[in-house]
Amino acid sequence: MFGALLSAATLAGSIAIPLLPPPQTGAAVLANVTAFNRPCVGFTSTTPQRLAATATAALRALGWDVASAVGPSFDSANSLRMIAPAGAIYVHSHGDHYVDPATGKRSSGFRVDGAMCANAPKVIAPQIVAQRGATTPIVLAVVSTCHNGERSSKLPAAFGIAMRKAAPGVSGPRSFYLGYVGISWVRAAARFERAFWREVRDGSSAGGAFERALLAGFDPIDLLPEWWGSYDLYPLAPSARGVASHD
Amino acid sequence: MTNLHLSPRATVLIAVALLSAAACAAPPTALAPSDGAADPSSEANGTSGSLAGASARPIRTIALTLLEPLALAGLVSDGGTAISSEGGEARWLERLIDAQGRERLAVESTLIGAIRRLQRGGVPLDAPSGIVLSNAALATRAAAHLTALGVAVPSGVPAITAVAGRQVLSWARRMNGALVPGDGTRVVLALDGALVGLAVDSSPLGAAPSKVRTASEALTAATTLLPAGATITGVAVLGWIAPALGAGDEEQTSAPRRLAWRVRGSFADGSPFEIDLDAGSLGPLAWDWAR
Repeated sequence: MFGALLSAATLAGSIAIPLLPPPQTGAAVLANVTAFNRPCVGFTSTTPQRLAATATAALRALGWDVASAVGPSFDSANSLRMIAPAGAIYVHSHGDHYVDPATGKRSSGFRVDGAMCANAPKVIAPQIVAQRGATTPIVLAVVSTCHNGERSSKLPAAFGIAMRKAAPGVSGPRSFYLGYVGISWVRAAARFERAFWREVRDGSSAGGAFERALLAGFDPIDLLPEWWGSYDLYPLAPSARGVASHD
Repeated sequence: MTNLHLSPRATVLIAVALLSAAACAAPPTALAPSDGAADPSSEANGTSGSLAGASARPIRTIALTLLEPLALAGLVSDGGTAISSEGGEARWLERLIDAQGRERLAVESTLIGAIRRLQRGGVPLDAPSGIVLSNAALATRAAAHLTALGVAVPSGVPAITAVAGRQVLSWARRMNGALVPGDGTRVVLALDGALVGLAVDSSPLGAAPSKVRTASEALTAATTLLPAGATITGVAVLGWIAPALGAGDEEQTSAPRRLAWRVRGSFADGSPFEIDLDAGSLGPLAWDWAR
C-alpha cells in the first residue's frame, strides 16, 4: 500500500536532501543468534535471522533506513551506538529485569549476543537513557524478549514511551511499544510477529496490526503480548510521512 | 462460441481454487479433521457452491450480520484479494475502509464462504457502557458472535486470557485427546463483549503412527538429545506438531501436523525449552524455547 508513496518520497528526498539522512530516520534491528544455536542449545536454528529479516523488511517498507546487528556483532557497544539515534528498533534476545550495578536496583533490558552462550552482557534501561539523551521518543519499538512487556519494565520509558494506551480514534504520542509479559516462547512469537509485520506493511495501524496478530495461531499460555503508545499510529519513517494517506 | 463473462473476483477465485487443488492437496495419508463439534473445519457456515467463490458472502452483508453492525455509510470495499493462509489454505481477504483510509472490517473466507478470520478496526478499549463482563458472560457473548456470523460454536468451555486490554477466548482443537497447538477457534472481545476479531484454524493432520511409543520411551529419547546442563522438568505430552524445516528451525506451518511427544525442560541457564519427538520413531521434529 505504501510502496508507490514511499518511492515518491525517496525520489523527492534524494533531490532535496542529498546529504546524510535526517535524525530519527534510522531503525536498528538486533538479534541474538549464538544463545539459540549449537553448542549453546541442542539444535541449530535460523529463527533469529528470520525474525530479524522479517522486521528488517517491514521497517524498510515503512521507509526506515535499517541497520542491523545479527549474531556476534550484536554486542553492547554496537547496540548502544545503534539505539542512540534510532527512530525504530527491533530486538530479539533474552530479556528480564536485571540488577543495575550502579544502583543495586532492578532495571530492565536484554542480553546481547556477544558470541556467548550464557551470561552475555546486558543492555539495561539506564544505559539506553544515557545514550539517547533528549532524543525524540522512538516511533516503534518491538522488544521480542521475555518480560519486557510487563508493567515493571523500564524499557518503554528508556525509549521515551509512556505506559499508556491511546485508544482507537484518540490522539496520542507518535509512538508504539510492543513487548511480551512473562516467558515468551519463540514458536508463538514467530507466528505473532509475522502477522504483526505483515499487517503494518499492508498499511494497518500499529494497534490494528497488533490485534490482527492476536488472531495468529498461538496459545496465550506461550505468549502474552502487550503494547503502549497510540493504537492509531502508522509507524512510517519521517521521510515517508506526509506522502502516505494516513499520516 | 459462447462468451462466459466472469467478474475479476470470480476469475481470481477460480484460478486460486484450481491452483489450490493442484498444489495444496493433502497427502493420501492425511487425516481430515473430524473431531466433532470442536472441529473448526466443520464448515457449518459454508455452502456447497460448485463455483469457487460463488457462495462467498459480500463483506457488506457480513458487516450487517455482526451483533454490533457497522454503519456502512462512507465505507468502501478494497475489492478483495486472493491470498493463501500460513497453513496453505486458499482464502479471499476483503476489507472495508473508511474515508480516512482506516480499516473498519477485514474478513478472510475460504472459497466456499466459511469465515476463517475477521477483525474489526477501531473497537474502543474502554467499555463505553462501563459494563465489564464476567468470564461466563464473555463466553456466552463470544458464542453469540460466532452464531450470528454462521461460524460453528465449539463445544466446551473456552480458556479466557486477558491480553493488552482485550479478552481472548480460545477453544483449543484436539484430535483423539491430543492438542493441536495453535488450532481451534479464537474470539477476541473488548471488556464489554464487543467483537474485536475471531479466527478459526484447522491444520491438516498427518496419519498417526501405527505404533505410538510410550511416554517413558520419549523421555529417555529426549534426554539423549539434551546439551550439557539441560534437564527435563515435566512429563511427556502428546500433541500434533508442525514439523520444523530442520529440528530446531522454523516450523513448516503448511505441512501436515505430526503426532509428537512434547517434552519440556530447562537449559543450563534455566531458560525453558520444549523438544518434540515423532510419536512413532522418536526422532526429533522440532524444538521450541523461551527467551
